[in-house]
Amino acid sequence: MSSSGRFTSFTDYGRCWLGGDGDEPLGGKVGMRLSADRDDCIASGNCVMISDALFDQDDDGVVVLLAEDVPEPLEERAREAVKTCPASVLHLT
Amino acid sequence: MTAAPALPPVHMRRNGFDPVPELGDIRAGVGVRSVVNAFGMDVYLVTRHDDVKAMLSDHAHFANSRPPGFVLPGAPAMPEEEQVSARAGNLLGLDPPEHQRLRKMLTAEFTIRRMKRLEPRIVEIVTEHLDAMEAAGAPVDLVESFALPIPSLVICELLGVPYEDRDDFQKRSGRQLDLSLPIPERLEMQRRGREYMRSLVERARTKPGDDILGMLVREHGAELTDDELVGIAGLLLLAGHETTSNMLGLGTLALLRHPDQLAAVRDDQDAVGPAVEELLRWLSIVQTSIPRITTAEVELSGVTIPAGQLVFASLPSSNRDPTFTDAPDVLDISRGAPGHLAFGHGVHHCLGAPLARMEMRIAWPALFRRFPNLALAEDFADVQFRSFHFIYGLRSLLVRW
Repeated sequence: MSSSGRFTSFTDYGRCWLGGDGDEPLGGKVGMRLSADRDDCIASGNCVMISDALFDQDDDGVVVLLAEDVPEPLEERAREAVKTCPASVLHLT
Repeated sequence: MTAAPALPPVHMRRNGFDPVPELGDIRAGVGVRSVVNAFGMDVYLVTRHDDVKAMLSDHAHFANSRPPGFVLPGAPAMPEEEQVSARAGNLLGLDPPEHQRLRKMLTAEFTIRRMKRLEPRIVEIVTEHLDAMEAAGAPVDLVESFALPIPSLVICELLGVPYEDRDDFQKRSGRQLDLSLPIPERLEMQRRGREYMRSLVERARTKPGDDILGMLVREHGAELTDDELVGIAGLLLLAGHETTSNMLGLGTLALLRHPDQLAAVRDDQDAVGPAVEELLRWLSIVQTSIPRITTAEVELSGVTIPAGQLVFASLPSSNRDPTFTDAPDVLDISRGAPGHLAFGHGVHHCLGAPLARMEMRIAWPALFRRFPNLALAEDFADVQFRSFHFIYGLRSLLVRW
């Protein structure tokens, strides 16, 4: 049966690829900085699936950054989102 | 030129689930090679993960729109006016900025939040189909009673297409994507599909419903022509049921062949999401991206492709590239496969991906929980694959429980 109690629904996409990160604190030591070219976002939802703590979508599906300064525990997620964004609109500096 | 060869071209050939070894040889060797497509045309085939990603990201050099005068060999001559009408609204035949204009009208319908609102209805649809299977009793054809009707009904409701018309449009879209059929016949299916959709568009223009077609008429009716509405709705209908249905059928067979992994999908809620991604990667049912045309001379993996050439990106090959993931030929639902290219990449990345994901995440665990002893009711060797289709899958799948 379910190995954790965090799963809430079939559309809990934060758990899709790498398991959820909803429980990761957004505070803590900050490493890199995220940015997004929202004009070129194609609303694939890819980044939200990788980390719903870092990314969200507005009503049109366009990416919304929940944190521009990436807490260290989420750095790998941020890197993965940048690398796999279908429209290449995410950047990490 | 219209007669299809006995075997599908190398980028469509499979041994059961797996792409043939020749495809892997191209990837390990030159990476990009000229091959003959299903219509007897010379095309460039791109096989490596990084190259496929680079190519699909670069819409300026690899265009979806066709230059004036481009015709498929064997296609009947069509007046320019009719061609323009038939192309309108087909997002897969457009490049930015025109493509973006239309895509932006649709993205709100496929956000993750929107999917959450749809979830209860999809659970209901899945349950109804499982009830019907149970009532009918084993054996049943899983494709006919589960894999095809669930995504069909979902996209019909979303789009505003009467589900009673499914026999006609399912037959049409199946034939439209069967590359072994003569091009004139496939074009005729396309024409009839557009005619049908035109009747729905006319109805939506006068009485827009609470569905995507109605939304497009209400919110964008003034800026969209009827041809565009027909094109958009036709593409969504085709893409909405031909893709997920083949994943559901073929994926069920894949899990039946890997019983430990089937048990994990059945018993461990947390295993489902990553399993769906891994099945998308491993099966890569969309054999190639929509062919691109080079707008200038380009180079991929050191191979020069002249301007004006057709280029195919092999999605199964890119997803089984050992530089992308370890032991790529092994189905391992725990890997999760982040970064797979089963939905494509670039501006044409599958618009319906969140819907497809949700349908699979609901349908598979529900199926395996309802029938914990689900098994093949035919020999694996007898299972009929759709070997000549643009989208790989099964013709049927007899199961018992």
